[in-house]
Amino acid sequence: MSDILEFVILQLAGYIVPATLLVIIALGLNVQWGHTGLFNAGVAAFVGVGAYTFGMMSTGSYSNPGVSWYHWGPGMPFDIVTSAILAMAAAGILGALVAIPTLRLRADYLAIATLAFAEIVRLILKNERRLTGGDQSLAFIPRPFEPLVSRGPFSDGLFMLLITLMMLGLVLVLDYLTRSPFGRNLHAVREDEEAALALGKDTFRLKLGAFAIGCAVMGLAGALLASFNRVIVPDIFVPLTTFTAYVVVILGGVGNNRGIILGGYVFYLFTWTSQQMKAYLPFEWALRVDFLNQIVIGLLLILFILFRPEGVMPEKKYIPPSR
Amino acid sequence: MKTFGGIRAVDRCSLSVRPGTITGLIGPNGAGKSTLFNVIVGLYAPDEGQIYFNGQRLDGLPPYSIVRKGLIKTFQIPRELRNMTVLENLMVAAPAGAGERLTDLIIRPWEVPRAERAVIDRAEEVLEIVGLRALRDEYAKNLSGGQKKLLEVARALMAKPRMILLDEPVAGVNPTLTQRILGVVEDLRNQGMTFFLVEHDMDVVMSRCEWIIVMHQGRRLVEGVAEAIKANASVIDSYLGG
Repeated sequence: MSDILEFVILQLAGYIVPATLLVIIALGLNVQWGHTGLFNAGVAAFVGVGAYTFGMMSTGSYSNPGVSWYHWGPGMPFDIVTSAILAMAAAGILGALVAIPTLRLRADYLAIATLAFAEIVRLILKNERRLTGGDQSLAFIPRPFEPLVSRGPFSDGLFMLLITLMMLGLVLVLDYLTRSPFGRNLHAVREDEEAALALGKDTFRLKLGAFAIGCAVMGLAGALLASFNRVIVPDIFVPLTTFTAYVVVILGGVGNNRGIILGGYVFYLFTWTSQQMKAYLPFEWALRVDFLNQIVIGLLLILFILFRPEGVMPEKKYIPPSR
Repeated sequence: MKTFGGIRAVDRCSLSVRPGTITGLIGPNGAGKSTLFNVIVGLYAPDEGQIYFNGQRLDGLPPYSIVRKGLIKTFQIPRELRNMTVLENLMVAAPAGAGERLTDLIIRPWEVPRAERAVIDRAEEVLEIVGLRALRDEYAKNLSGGQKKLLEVARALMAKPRMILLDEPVAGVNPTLTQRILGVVEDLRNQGMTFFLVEHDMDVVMSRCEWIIVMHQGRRLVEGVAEAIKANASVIDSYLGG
C-alpha cells in the first residue's frame, strides 16, 4: 500500500514540480512581455543566474568536490531563504543592468542585448569552473526542511506542495501589481510608449521596474529548480528554455497571470506524457518521441499565433462599477 | 530651432500664446507646425532656443515633467491605447497619484483603492463632458476615427492641464462631432483654459480662434486676428492661395 502511495507521489511530483517551475518562469516573462511589451530573449540566463546564485550561497564553499576551495560562496552556507532572496536580487539587479543602456533605444535593442547576455552567462557558467563547477555540475544543493525530510518520495511531495503554494502566492502578488495603477501604466507602455510618455508617464522607469521584477521572478524559479534537482549544470539554461517560456505565455494568455498557470500545466503535459510513453514504445520509436514532441509544440505555437494570439485565457477587460 | 539632418524644421520661430485664448497655428504642409508642437511638449529636444510656460523654462525637460507642469498635447493621428478600454485610456492620463509607484503599493496599499475611485469618478465626469459616456467600457481600438479624436481631447483633459496643444483636432471628423469637439474646447476656454491648435480647416480656424499665427518654412510669417490674416498678402501667397 505504502509502495503505491510512494509511487504516486513520485510520479505526481515529477509532473507538478517541473510544470510549476515553468509557470513561475512564464509569470516573470509575462510581467515583461505580456504586460509591458518588453521582449526578453535571455530568459534562460536569468533563471540560470538565480539557480547558480542559490546553489553557491546555499552550499557554501566546502561541500563541492568538483569546485575548488576558492569557489566563490560564503565560507559557511547561507540558509535556504536567504539564498533564495539573494538569487532573486542577483537576477533582478543583473536584469536592470542589462536593461538600462538599451531601454532608451528602440525596442529591438533589448532583445539583442538580452540574447547576447544569455550566451555570455551560459559560457561563464560553463567555463569558470572554479566559480561554478562548470560542466561537472554544482551539487549538494539543499532542499527545504532538509534535516527533517531528507530523501525519498516525501521530500518530493513536500517540495511539490511548497512550490505550488509559492506559485499561487506569486500569482496573487503579480495580480495585485498588474491590476494597480502601476500595472495600468505598464499596459499603456505596451500599447503605445510615446503616447504614454506624452500623457505624463516616466516610461523608462516603468520599463526598468517591470524588467527587474520579471527577472527577479525568473531568479526565484532558478533557485527552486536548483533546490529540487539538487544538482545544476550550465546546459539547462540554453535558449530552448527561453523559447519554452514564450510558448507557455502564448498558450496561457498574454497579460493574464492566471492563464499562465493553465498554459504551464497544459504545456508540460505534452512533454511529460511523451516521456512516459517512451517506456512502452519500441526502441526506434522511443528515439523519435522527443523530436515529435518538439514538432507538436512548434506546430501549436504557429497555430496559436495565427488563430488565437491572445492565448486561451486572454487579458481580462477592466470594468469597475460606476458610481 | 529643430534640425533633422540638414533640414531646419523649426527655425528662429519666436511666438507666444496668451493665456485664456484659443490661438490657431496655420501654415502649408511641412511648415513645421507639428514639429514645433513636439518640441514644445518635449517629445523632440530643441537644438537651440528656449521655451517658457508660466514663467518656467521647459526646454530640456522630459515630456512627463512638462505634462506635470500643466501643458499637454493631443496627437494628430490618434494614438489610443488600443487594447485598453476608453475608461482606462482616461485613467492612464490622470495626474500621477497613489499606486503608480511600486513603493506606494508596498507601503501604503490601503490608499490605492480610494485614489482609484477618485480617478474613475473624474474619468466619468470627463467622459460626460466629451459625450463618450456610452463607450466607457469599449476597447479604444473599436472607436470610430472621430471618436478617437474625442478620446484624445478627453485624455488631455484628465491630466488637468492649464494649456492644451491640439494637433488637427477636427481633421477627418464629421460635422456633428466637429461641432461637439469645438463646443468642448470653447466651454473650457471660457473656464480659463488655454488652447493652441493646428488646423487646416480654415472655416474652423477663422471662426473659432481669437489669434492666428502663420508659419512658413519653419518660421513665423505673421500673426493677428482672423480678418488681418485673411487680408494679408503674404499669407495668401504662401498658403491661402488665390
